[in-house]
Amino acid sequence: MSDFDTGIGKTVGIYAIVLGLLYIGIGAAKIVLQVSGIGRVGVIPGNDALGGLFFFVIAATYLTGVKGAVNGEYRGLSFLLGGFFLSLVYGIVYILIIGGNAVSYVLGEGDFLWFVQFTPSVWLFIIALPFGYLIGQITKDMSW
Amino acid sequence: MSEEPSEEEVLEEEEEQEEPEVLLAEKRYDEIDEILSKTMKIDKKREWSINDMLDVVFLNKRLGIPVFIALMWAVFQLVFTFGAPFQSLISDKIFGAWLPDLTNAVIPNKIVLSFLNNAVFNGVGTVLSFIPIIFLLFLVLAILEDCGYMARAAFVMDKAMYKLGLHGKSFIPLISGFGCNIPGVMACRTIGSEKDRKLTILVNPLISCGARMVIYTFIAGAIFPAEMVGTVIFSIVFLGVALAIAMAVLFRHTLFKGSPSAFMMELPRYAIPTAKASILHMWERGKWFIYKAGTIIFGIVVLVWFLQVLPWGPTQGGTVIENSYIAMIGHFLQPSVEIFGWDWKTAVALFFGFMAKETVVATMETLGQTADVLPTIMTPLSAYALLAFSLIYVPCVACMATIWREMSLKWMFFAIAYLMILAGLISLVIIGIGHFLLGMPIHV
Amino acid sequence: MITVALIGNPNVGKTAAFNQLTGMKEHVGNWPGVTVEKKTGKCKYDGEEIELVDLPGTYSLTARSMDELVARNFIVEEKPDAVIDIVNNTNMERNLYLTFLLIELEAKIVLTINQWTGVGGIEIDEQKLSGILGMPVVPIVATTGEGMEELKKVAVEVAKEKGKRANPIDYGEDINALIKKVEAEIKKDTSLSSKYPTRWLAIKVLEKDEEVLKEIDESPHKGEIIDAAG
Repeated sequence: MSDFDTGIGKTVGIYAIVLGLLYIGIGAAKIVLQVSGIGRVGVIPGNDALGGLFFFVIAATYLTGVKGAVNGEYRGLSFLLGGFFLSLVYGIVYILIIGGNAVSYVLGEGDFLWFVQFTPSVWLFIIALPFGYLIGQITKDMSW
Repeated sequence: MSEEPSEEEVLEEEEEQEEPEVLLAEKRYDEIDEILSKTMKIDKKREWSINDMLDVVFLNKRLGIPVFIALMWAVFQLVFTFGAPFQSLISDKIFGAWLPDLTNAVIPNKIVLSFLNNAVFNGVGTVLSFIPIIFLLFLVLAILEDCGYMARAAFVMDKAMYKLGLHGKSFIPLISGFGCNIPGVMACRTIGSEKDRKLTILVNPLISCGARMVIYTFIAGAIFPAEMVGTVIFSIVFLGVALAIAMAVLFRHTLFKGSPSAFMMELPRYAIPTAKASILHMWERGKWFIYKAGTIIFGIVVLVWFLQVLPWGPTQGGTVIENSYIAMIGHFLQPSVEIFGWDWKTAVALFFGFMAKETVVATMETLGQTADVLPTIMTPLSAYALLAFSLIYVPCVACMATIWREMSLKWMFFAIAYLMILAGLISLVIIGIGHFLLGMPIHV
Repeated sequence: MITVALIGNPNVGKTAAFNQLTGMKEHVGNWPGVTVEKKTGKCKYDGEEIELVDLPGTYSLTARSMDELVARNFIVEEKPDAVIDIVNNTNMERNLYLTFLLIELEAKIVLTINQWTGVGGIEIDEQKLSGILGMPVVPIVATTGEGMEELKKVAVEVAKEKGKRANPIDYGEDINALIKKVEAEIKKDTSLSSKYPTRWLAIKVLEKDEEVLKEIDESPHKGEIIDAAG
């Protein structure tokens, strides 16, 4: 008994696994880089251990829903929607911060290096965008 | 229709000895069910809605609270990292350069200039420069409330707090405290039981109000690297919530023994907030901030300035601050905060902070402890202890007066006493761990 | 001028309805003796001036919280000409509980069903509901103001009708008999029965309502009443 097509359920389920693992990986990297004192490596900041912890929360949200979504259940899909919501919030927050830093730079304070600005929250959000579209397709007939 | 997830949840059944009451209530519900079965039809397709799906996640037993904390962390990142450039635009450019340049060029009188530069531009101007940050915080909180999420957050927190013996409705007044503790204390009126109401009032001052955000932003912004500021402030706000819960549990087991009364909570539907409503909501909470800057903060800043330039002769018109009256007060107070590594100016600022918390920042600025100067007199450890102290000790006179009105004079003094003791204690623990255990310096 | 009270559970759209009715012109004060906010406003229908009193949003009308007590005392003591009880179509079961408590208070109720915009799939037979409950039922959309004129019209009609009450709730044979027994004792005390609805007092005695028990305590028939309640 599934609520929606299990074919698309499998697609979003696998997509959610990929996103979940990415958030875990990057989150762990953030924590390791700060705790060990190595600092920034490429686009992964080295002073954001706490942010890394919250990436685990996002990952947990995605992964909780995988099984249900693959079986075509709305209950499982809920967690994928929730995970995407968190990706969206984090993405928008850091995009706005890029804007704030740009203002700062224009005012003559601080540097503006693209790889510093382009935080994992932003590019993981971009990676999650097609996923969000798929979720939207499944729920488009659902009442608010 | 009662199967709909999340629309309503009952946490505790009525106590057993109230039999007739329960029986009557059950009969009423039975009859309601019967009437509705005859008059109401619900489309089967409504079984799952976006609302239900969101509630599955936000009210989830395991994920509900972590998701709430993760969202709040994002809020603090946004507010303090995104808002910072706009704050420094106002404080550094408008009040720090343009206005002083203008007055220096136009006004020849040294006394008037000293007053304008120290009291008005530095003191009041710095407080006003926090408008973008404070209003942004209130806007985000308003959006979270208007979209229906805050009620969910309150719900999951309440469930956890209920297990700790706290009243179910406690968290909503606590959330109101983020704007200002006064409405937070007043919101406790919605709590039915007197014991629970008093308990929640007493811990409300531990919630970081907008005025304290000014201190956090000012000090953390000056001492910690920019990308750490959001995290530092988040940790202090979090400390406040944790202390509020801890103290509530303590009071529950000492002063207000008993079990919390049953509660029932209904959740509003999610909605996309309208810009107009959220902005109005933000303005309602934020307008006092501007009002206070123009009244009480300005008044205190004037007082501080007078105490700083008088006696006029020995201080040479406020330039030799060490000879001023305020230095006398400061040196008198300073030994009590010596252990935290704070100087006499900080002691004076904390003293005037009793009136309103923004005056801590306004006083420091008036006394010349600007964001540029702070790193030369404070280490990250002593700054962090100062943040914790500012969080805990009495929020302001107006909040205490509200506690007096809502409870009694006796309880107001109790609140002042316990907050002062707790403030000292927690700051000592921070210094103890940081300085004596980890060897971090408390003096620059 | 007629006085109309506005009551409802929290989050049913009561404030929005109040604003729609009064056009945002409100007067905010405090209820006497307690620190609960009192909001009043005025509106007009067909030349008749209506004073609207916004009662605190509550789920029930026990004596346990200030909000509930304020709302209840207003209805019992001030006896408003009509009570607009706002319920929400997405949460009828919960909301009607308050309606039932109002029926016991013998309030002159206008049941007002607020519809959330964007919620489909719920159909309510208002006429049938009105017939069963014995009170007028008015659908509104508080966010857009739809149905406000009709609501005012019905409120004025209800205010002018004298003596008509909603159908009492059937608690089943045993409880009904018990209520009757207690009520009969209460009726012997004329000072009580002239002040409050006696059936309501009887039910509250059974529910061991603190405030009502205080009233009963002063009655010369106290012993009989308590005995009857068992």
